[in-house]
Amino acid sequence: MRPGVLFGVALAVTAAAAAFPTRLSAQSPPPAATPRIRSIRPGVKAPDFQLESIDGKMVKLSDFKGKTVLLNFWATWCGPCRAEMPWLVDLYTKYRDAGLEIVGVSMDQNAVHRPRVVPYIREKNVTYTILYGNDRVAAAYDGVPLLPTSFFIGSDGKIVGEFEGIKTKNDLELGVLRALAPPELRSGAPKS
Amino acid sequence: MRTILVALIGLPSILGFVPASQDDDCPAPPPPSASTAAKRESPLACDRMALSDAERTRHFDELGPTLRKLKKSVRELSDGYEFEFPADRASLALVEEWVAGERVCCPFFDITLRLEREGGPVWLRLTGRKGVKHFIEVDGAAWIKS
Repeated sequence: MRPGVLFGVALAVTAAAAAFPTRLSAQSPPPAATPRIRSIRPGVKAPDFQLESIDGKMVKLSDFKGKTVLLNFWATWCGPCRAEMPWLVDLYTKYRDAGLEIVGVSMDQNAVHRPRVVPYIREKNVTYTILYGNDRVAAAYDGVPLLPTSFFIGSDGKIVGEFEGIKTKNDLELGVLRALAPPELRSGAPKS
Repeated sequence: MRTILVALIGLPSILGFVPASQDDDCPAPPPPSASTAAKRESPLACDRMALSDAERTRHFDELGPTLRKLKKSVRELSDGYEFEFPADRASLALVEEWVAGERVCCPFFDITLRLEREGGPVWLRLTGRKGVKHFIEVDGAAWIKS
């Protein structure tokens, strides 16, 4: 076998080996007991994704380019998520004109809970974007083992902060205000 | 009031948060040690990996609504609420099953199950750190309503 062919095979094997763990981690959420590798931190570009909205449209995170985004992972069965939702509705009303978009990603993935998403958000008068989430998108955001989890994304598309679990409405608003601020004026990135 | 504290379905650490028993024959449970959950403070959040789809459906769609209907009374506490359930074995089994699911899904709760002697009432106490009581009031309004 010629040296050039050997080199090509070795290169292909190396590339496949390098790609495999990446694909695996993108498709499989980490088990709860496994310590998470935190890749989402302030300053990192928020991973783009495409998900179906409750209106049946395909929505990308990058569709909100130039806006400040509060990316909120939640579920209808999650009590803390339900408690937090009215605060998000209020914050969206208050800061929408200032450039805030709230994107709720529902992790109601099974056949029992997914049909409850639309009735629930209508009952709660949710006006911001609601998407049907999946484990692949959750994996891109460090697995999202806890609900609710919110990521604050600046208008530059970079992560500003993260909240795991429910805080106070005031904490959420401070997180929004930091994310809305120009990058050079941000201080004390919210982090739970 | 004299009470009997009963540890059920492998919930030994719950006892660490139970007020000392006043039963002479029953030694008081040990106080929480620095190495127990009191040291860790998980966020007020649900662990979405804790229950399988089937377990989640059972917990939230069957056990929860059933227990709300079975609930006999509610007591407000300084840091949470206490719910009374019928003393029959079937009701107790449902409460036990709910506790096992809630403990893994919502680890921020201190959960105490108290069975009064002589076939007395079953009390389920949900308490926790600052914010937990308010959370119960907001999300568990249907549980609190008499």
